[in-house]
Amino acid sequence: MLTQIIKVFIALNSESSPRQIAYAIALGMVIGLTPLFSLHNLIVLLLAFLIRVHLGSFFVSWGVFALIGALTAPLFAALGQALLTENALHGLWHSAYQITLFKLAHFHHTLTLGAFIIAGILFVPIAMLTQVLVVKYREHVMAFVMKLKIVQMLKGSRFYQFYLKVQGGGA
Amino acid sequence: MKKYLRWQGFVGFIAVIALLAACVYVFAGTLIKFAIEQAGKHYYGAEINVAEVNINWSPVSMEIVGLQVTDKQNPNNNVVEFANAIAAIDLWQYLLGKTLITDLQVTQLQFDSQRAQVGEIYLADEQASEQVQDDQPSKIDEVKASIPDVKTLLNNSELITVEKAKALQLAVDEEKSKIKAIQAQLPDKTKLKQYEAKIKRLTDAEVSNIEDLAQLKQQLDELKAEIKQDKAILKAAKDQLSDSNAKLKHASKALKDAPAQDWQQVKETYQLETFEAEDLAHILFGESARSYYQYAEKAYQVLKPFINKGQDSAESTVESVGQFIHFDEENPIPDWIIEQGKIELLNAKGTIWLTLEDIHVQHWKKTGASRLTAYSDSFAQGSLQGKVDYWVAEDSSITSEADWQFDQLKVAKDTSSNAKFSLQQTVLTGKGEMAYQAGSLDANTVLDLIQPEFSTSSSSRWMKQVIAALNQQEAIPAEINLTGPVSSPSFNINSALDNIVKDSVKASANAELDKLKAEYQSQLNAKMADKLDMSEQQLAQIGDLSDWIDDTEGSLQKLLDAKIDSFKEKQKDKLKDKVKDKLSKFF
Repeated sequence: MLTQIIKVFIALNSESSPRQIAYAIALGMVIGLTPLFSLHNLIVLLLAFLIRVHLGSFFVSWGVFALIGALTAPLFAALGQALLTENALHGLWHSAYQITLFKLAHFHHTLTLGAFIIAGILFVPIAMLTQVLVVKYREHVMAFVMKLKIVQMLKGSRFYQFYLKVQGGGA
Repeated sequence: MKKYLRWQGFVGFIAVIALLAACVYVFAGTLIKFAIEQAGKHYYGAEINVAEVNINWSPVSMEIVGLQVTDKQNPNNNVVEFANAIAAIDLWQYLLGKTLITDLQVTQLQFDSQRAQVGEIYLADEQASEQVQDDQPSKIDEVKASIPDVKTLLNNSELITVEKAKALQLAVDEEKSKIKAIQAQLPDKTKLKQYEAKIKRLTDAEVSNIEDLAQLKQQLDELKAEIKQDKAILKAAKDQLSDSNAKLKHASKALKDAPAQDWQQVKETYQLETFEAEDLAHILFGESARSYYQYAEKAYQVLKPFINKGQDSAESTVESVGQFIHFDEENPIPDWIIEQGKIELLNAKGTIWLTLEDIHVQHWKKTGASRLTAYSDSFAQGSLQGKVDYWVAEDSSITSEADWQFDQLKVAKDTSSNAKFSLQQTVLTGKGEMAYQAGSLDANTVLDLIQPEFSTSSSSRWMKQVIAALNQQEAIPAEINLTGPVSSPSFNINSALDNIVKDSVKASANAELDKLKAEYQSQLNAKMADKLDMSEQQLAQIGDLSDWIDDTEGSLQKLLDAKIDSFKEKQKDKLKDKVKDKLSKFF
């Protein structure tokens, strides 16, 4: 986990595109909030690896949102329950239920559906917000942070140097 | 395209998937074991132990080894445990959100077995009241209190026989004193002799003139008045004797009827017709019937969460972990189903084999009955077999039909019972059936107790007589009915035992009451006989006396009339003589 945090730190302070970081965070959010063993997470994971997003940020985001997801699971399950048992939507779900892929994706599971819908709704706002925050950080905060003693200590650590060597780059 | 994609990431993706798959492969068993134990802690509320869980991947099956579920009401015991359970699972259906167990094999399943260590209880059991019911004092003590012994019965001072005997004694004493009092006023022999002397004197008296006649008449009137007075006394004596006689006869009849009334009262007081025999039957059959029912109920409690849907407790589970919501489909299958299975059920009396066919709780999706068949050829040294079919409707209501039969089941107590009344050993043979619908149970079992041997620790002679009567029976037929709500059905037990016990108790009580009646009557009859005989003799004497007085009164009148007639004749003769003398002077 420390490695992942350092990666994020490096990414924030590197030339990495803010957009790469932002979408990595958003994808990590989806996989973190929704139940892990779901078909859609296989796709999210594949996208995270294939698309040039910042993997370190993706994994940190996954970890952080998994914790949030564990706390909010009852809410998501209640949302999913309400949607799946809503009379007005019964026709929709009934039609979707006839599709094997729908069942394979566990969208008829209250927690999966509730969490997926919340993650879907939050995906674009989280990505955009993160992108803005990274840009703002680099403009206003990065110079200040780099001067912090703790950062200086971190940058001077053997682990950091070793990581840079392996990565073949510098901050 | 290359700007956005990194194809080498595919390797990373495969690596992560492989890592996750490896984790699942290696830790799945441990995770499921942990999940089962934690579910016990948080949802069931008592310690659940699992020795190990193994997952086999081809074909997919799950093996649970050494499951023990602590009984929340009695943490020294497991509500259920088994040595090994293997469930073959249809992976495709599992991925679609359904649990289709194609085959289930369970070995050494036991209910209510002893735990090696006391289990932890995390949540208090809401059904603790059932335990209270179990701890209620034995029915045996109640019956002991209900069946009177002869001493109690006879010491009862309100016995009608005793009361009537006292009443008769009192009546005899009262009437005796009344008769004595009137006897003193009756004319005695001296007086009768005086009457006779007076009558003789009057009879012999000569009436020569009118003055004599007047005097005679006066004397006769005085005598008549005297006799009339005695006659009134005699009439009063007669009435008194007749009255006493009637009273004594009435009291005597009341005493004769008293034992029968006492028996009726004893029957009503101690409910000998309906109460005790039924409860003895409950002790004998109810004990076993209740234990088997509780056995079934515990199994039902274990299975209940799988059957009932939408309860409050399930809601919290739903909210925290979610659940699958299934919709209508062309070929629906239940959310979970055990297509077939075999269970080895261990019991202290022997092993029962259970076979399962299409066990599930959504019969609106798969309409055929779920069937559970039980058989054993070594249960209590006999054999048994039975089957249960059930259907669960969409509103969770259950309909069920079952039938069973058993043959030559040996029932024996391994320890001597201190119960006032207990069945030591017998052989059971019988059959039964059950129907369950909308929470209401209607079960019936007809059985025979062959060569039963009963015992009692009571010193009551009645109880010993009952035991002796029962032990002489070659077979006692019985019928056990369970009706009413499944949570608290009423046990109704009909048995020939009732009649045997009733007859024995009735005969014994009747004999004691007859003995009591004879005892009182032998003492009273002697006294009463004297009194009644004496009264009748007295009555006869008074009757004779009364007749004599009536006759005497009549005789006196006749005597007076005769004297008057005689005087008239004499006066006529005198006048005739005078007239003749006068006429002779002329001729």
